[in-house]
Amino acid sequence: MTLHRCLRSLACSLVVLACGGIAIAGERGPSSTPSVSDVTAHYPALAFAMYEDSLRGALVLTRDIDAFLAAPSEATQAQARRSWIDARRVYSQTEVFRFGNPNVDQWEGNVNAWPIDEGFIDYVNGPYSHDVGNPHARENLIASSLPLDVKALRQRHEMSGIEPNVATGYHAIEFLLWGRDPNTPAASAGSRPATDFATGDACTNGSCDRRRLYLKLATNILVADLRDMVEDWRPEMGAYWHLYGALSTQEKLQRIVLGLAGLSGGELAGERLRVALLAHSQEDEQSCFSDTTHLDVYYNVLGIHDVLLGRYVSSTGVVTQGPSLYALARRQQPAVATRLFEQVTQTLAGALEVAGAANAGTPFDQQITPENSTGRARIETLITRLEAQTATFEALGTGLASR
Amino acid sequence: MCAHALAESPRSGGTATTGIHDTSAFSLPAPSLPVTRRGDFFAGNSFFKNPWVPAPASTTARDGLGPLFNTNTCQSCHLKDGRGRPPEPGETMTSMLVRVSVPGPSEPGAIETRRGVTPDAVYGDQLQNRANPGVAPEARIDVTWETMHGRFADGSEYTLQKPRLRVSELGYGALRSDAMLSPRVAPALIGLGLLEAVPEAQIQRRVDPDDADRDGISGRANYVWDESRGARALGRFGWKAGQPKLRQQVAAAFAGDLGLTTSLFPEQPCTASQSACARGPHGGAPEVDDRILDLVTFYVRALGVPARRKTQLTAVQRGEALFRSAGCTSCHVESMRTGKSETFPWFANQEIHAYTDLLLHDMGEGLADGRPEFQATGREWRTPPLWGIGLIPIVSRHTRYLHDGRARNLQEAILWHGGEAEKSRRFFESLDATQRDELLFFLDNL
Repeated sequence: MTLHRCLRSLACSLVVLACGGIAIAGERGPSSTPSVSDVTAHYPALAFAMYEDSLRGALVLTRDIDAFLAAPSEATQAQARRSWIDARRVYSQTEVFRFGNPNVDQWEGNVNAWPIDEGFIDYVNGPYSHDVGNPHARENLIASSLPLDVKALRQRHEMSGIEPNVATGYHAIEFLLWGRDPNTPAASAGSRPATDFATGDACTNGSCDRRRLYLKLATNILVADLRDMVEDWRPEMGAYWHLYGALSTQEKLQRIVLGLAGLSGGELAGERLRVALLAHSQEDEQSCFSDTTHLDVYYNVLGIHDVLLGRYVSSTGVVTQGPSLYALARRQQPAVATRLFEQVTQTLAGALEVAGAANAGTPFDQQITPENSTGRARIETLITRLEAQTATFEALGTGLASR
Repeated sequence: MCAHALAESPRSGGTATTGIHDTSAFSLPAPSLPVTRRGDFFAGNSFFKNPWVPAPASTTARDGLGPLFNTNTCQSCHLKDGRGRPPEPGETMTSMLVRVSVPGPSEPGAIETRRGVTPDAVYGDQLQNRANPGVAPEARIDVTWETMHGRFADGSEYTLQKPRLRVSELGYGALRSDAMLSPRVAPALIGLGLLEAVPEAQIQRRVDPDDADRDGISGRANYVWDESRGARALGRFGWKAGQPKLRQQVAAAFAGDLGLTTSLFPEQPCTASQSACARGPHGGAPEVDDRILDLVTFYVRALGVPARRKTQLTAVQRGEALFRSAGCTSCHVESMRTGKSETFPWFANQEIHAYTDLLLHDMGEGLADGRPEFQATGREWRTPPLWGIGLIPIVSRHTRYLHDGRARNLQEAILWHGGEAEKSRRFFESLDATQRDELLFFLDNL
C-alpha cells in the first residue's frame, strides 16, 4: 500500500493531490460535460466496485484469521491485524454512500457499530466505563454458556435495543484481534496476547475455544453482510440497483449529494472529530483498539473525493472511472465547483496531516489530549474544512436540483 | 361531530416531521434541520449516549459523574430517546427517579423561589440511588403494586395497579415522616424544540384558573425560575412544567440525575450532611462546559417528530372523533403554532399537533403525588404531549404510561384520569368495547 507509506510526508501528499488534479484535467475533452443521467448512472457502478473491493478485503482477512486460528502466534496475529487494517481502508471509503442511501444506512450498524461495551463480548481487565442502564455490559458472551452460532450473534447484536451491545462487525473483530488499548505507553494500541486464541494449556484468559469460535463467526458474518451489500448494488441484478434506477434524476442527485454532505458534516466533523476534540477521550475514537482512527478519517475523506470525481482505484489497482459529479457541477455551477474542488483538496490535505502525525508516532487518541495543542489545532482545522465543504455540497445540491 | 376536520394532517411536527417508524423513530433529526447543522446534532447525540465517568480521569472530559447520581448517561433513562419505566421486582431503578421535598416555610425563601420546593435538609430534592466509590448511595427504591378493580358501563371489568414506593438502605438516616416523594419516569424527547418555540401568549390564552367558561377544565400556568435570567418564567417542561427552557432542563438533568455541574447549576447535589459527597473529587468547574451543554441541548431541541400513521383508516378516524367527543382535546390540544425563532429558525411558524396545552390540571386524588412544585399543587400535572405515543412499544419496548409508569397500557392510562378529566374518563367508560378499541387505535397510530 504505497499510499499508506506515502502518508508520512506532506510533500508526498501533494503529489497525490496533483494526481487527482490530472484526473480532472483529463475530463476537459468532449466527455467533460456529461449529462445528469450519465452522472447518476455511474454512481451505482462506483458503489458496486467499492463494495466488491470491501468484500475482497474481508475475504483476505478471513484467510489470515483462519491462519491465525490454525497456528496462533504473534506473527500470525500480526498478519491478521494487518489484513483488518487493509480491509478498513477500503470499507471506510464506502461510508460516503451511507447517508444518502437507506439500504446502506440500515445495514451499516451490523458491520460498523461502535463504541462497544467490551464486557458484552469478552473479559475486561481494569477500569471499565459503561452505561449503568445496560444490564448486558458484563454479559461476556464468550465466557457464557450461550451456544455460539451465527444466529445467536446476530440476535444479540444491539441486545435490548442498547447500541453498545455490539456483537458483530469490524469493531467486534478489532476488539478480538487487539484487545483494549491501555495506553501504556501512550502511543501503544491494544495488546491482547495471541495466546487468548491458543488451544489447550497455552490458553490465556479462559474460554479460548469459544473465543476462537466467536472470532470465526464474526468474520463469517462480516463477509456475509458485505456480500449482501455487493449484491444489492450489482448492475442489472441488485435490488437497490433497481430501486435507485427507478428514482427521478433529481432524487438520485439528492442522494449522491446527501451522502457526500452527511459524511462530511454530521458524521466526520460532528460525531467523530468534534466530539473527540471536546471529550479528548479514547472512548470517542472509532478504531480505539487498533489505534487506527486516523485511517478511518483519511479514507472517509478519500471516499468523498472518489465520489465527487467519479473515480475509484481499488486495492488491486483497478480503476473504475466515469462521468463525475464534479464535471457536471463545473458545467452547471462553475463557481461552486471551483470552490468545492479547492475545499475537498484542502480537506484531503488536512486528513493526510492527521494520518501523517499518527504514522509519525502520535496516534489519534494522543492528538486529541488537552496537552497536545498542535494535535488539537490540526484536527480543529480539519473540522473547519469539513464544515465548509458541507455547506458547499448543500449549495450544490440546491442548485442541481433546480435544473 | 363534524367530519371535515378529521385526520387533516399526519404531519404532527410540521416540517420537522419524519417518516420513520422503527426503533429509531424518536432519534432522528428534524428533516428541516440544515445538513450543515447535523454535525452539532450528532456531536450532541454522542454526549447524550456515551457514559460519564467519575473524576479524576486523566484522559477524558467526560468525567465528573457523581458523587451521587441516578445513572451515568442520558440514554440509560431516555433509551432511544424514548420513555422510561418502573423497575421490575428486584431490578435497580434506572429509567425512573424519585423527587423528594418537605413542607415549605409559609414565606418562600431563596431556595424555594429558585427550586419551587423546599429540599430535604439531608437528601436534597431527589433521591440518588447510585454513588461513586467511597460515597454512600442515598437509597434503594423498589416499587410494589396494589391491584384495584373497576367496571365499564357495558359490565366488563378492568383492573388497575397503584404503585407503593419502598425506600430502603437509606444512606444518611431515616427520611422525615412528612417527606413528600414523587416518582417519575423519563419522558420521551421528541418535538421538544417545537414546544419551546410556541409563543407564550398562545399558552397563556388557554389559562382559565377559575373555570370562567364552566367547561370543568381550569388550566393553570406554572411560573418557575429561569436561572439564566434570574427571573420568574413560564414553565413548560417536566411532569409539572417545572422548567422554562430546554437548556435549563438539560442542565437540571445533568445536575440531579448525573451529578454533573454546569454554568447554570454549578453546585454538586450534596447537602451539609453528606460530607464525603461534598469532598469530591470533582471533574472541573463546571464539569460540563457550555460547549457540551449547548451541544446536548441542540440535540434534544432538534429531534424530529414521527408522522401519524394510518390516518386514512376509518377506524382511526372514528377513534379520533371519539377522542374529541370525550373532551380529551380540551387539554390534549390538537393544534398549536410555533412563532418566530432567531436561534432555531427552522422550527418557526409551524402548525404542530402535540396534543398538549402545556398547562397544569388537577388530575384527581388517584394520580396525585402530593408534592407541590412552584405553583403546581400535589394534584396537578402538566398535560403530557401525546405525539408519538403509539410508537412507545416499538421504540422503548414497553407499554408503561403516566408519570410513574403505573399504567400497563393506554387504556389503563385513560382510566386513571380523574379531577378535571373525570368527565372524559366517564365518557370512555360508557363506550362499548368496539368504540374503546377505536379510540385506542387512534392513539396507537399517533
